[in-house]
Amino acid sequence: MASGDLLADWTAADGETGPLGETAEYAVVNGQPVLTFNSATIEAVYVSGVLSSAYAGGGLTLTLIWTSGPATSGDCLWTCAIERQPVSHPVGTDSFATANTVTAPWPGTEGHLVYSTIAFTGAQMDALVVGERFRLLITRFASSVTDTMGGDAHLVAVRLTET
Amino acid sequence: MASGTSLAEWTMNGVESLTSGAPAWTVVNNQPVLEFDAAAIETTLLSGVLSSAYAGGGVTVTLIWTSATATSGDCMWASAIERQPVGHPIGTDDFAAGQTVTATAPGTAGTLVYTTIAFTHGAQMDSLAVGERFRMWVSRSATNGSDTMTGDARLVAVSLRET
Repeated sequence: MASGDLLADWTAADGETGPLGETAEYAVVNGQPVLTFNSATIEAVYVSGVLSSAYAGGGLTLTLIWTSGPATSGDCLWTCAIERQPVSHPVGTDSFATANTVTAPWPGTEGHLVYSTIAFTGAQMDALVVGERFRLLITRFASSVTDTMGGDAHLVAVRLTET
Repeated sequence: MASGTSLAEWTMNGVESLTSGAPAWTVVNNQPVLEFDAAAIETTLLSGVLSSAYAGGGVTVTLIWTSATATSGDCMWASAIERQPVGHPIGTDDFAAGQTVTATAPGTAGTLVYTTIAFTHGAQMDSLAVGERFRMWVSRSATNGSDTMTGDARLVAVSLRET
């Protein structure tokens, strides 16, 4: 097994508190938990897991399943970074690898889903191996000039597959 | 597939409450953890449905934990499995015998330890089969003479793999 294998998935209800003062807001849309990311300030959320034995040593691809609030145009800039947590990792200290980004156009119709992917290779994965705990830091980089989408972005789910 | 196959994982957002004797939920560096007292036995419950990836062997639970303050001593963990097949009365506990491990505290408080407890196929697993719901309790046996670690033990994540 390798390419395309599902390694983990999270709903918005699985999100863990983001960095101080930057946590995306939890809300419910049509009975579905979503995290709302502001269009004016950087907001973020963590998700965590233990890398599945289905992982065969390749790269990783993160898929952000999201939509817009009231936006009618523009792009949303998402970033994500991986932190490996092996034996002796200090839980009180962050050690994320460099973040990767994707600039995704708004969905065309408010509330319609977009699947945006971010690929990670080698050091970008923080050398994560099977059986190790890890965290992902997912951020909307709203303060970047590249992020031109008005209104909130609603993150619905996140999927991690082997590239 | 068999040995080492990932079957389930839990963060401390995914635990279930006991009416008494539950570890305190808290957050360390934005990560949800459960704090198990050094003076009294505390227990948490996790649940799932056994994955079709299970191939009929034993299972191994990995506890990913750290100490709040301790840098020496041993922490005694225990865990047991309860199968919940058709006809199981959910108002009644029916766990198999608990299995234990005595794990050495991390040399630096707050750094991760990966500690395993193996359950052999059969009675120790409560004869759990693919597709059946199960529960697993995890305790710190703080009142046992073998538990010599001072301060809280902080459980960060739990994974279940085929042995």
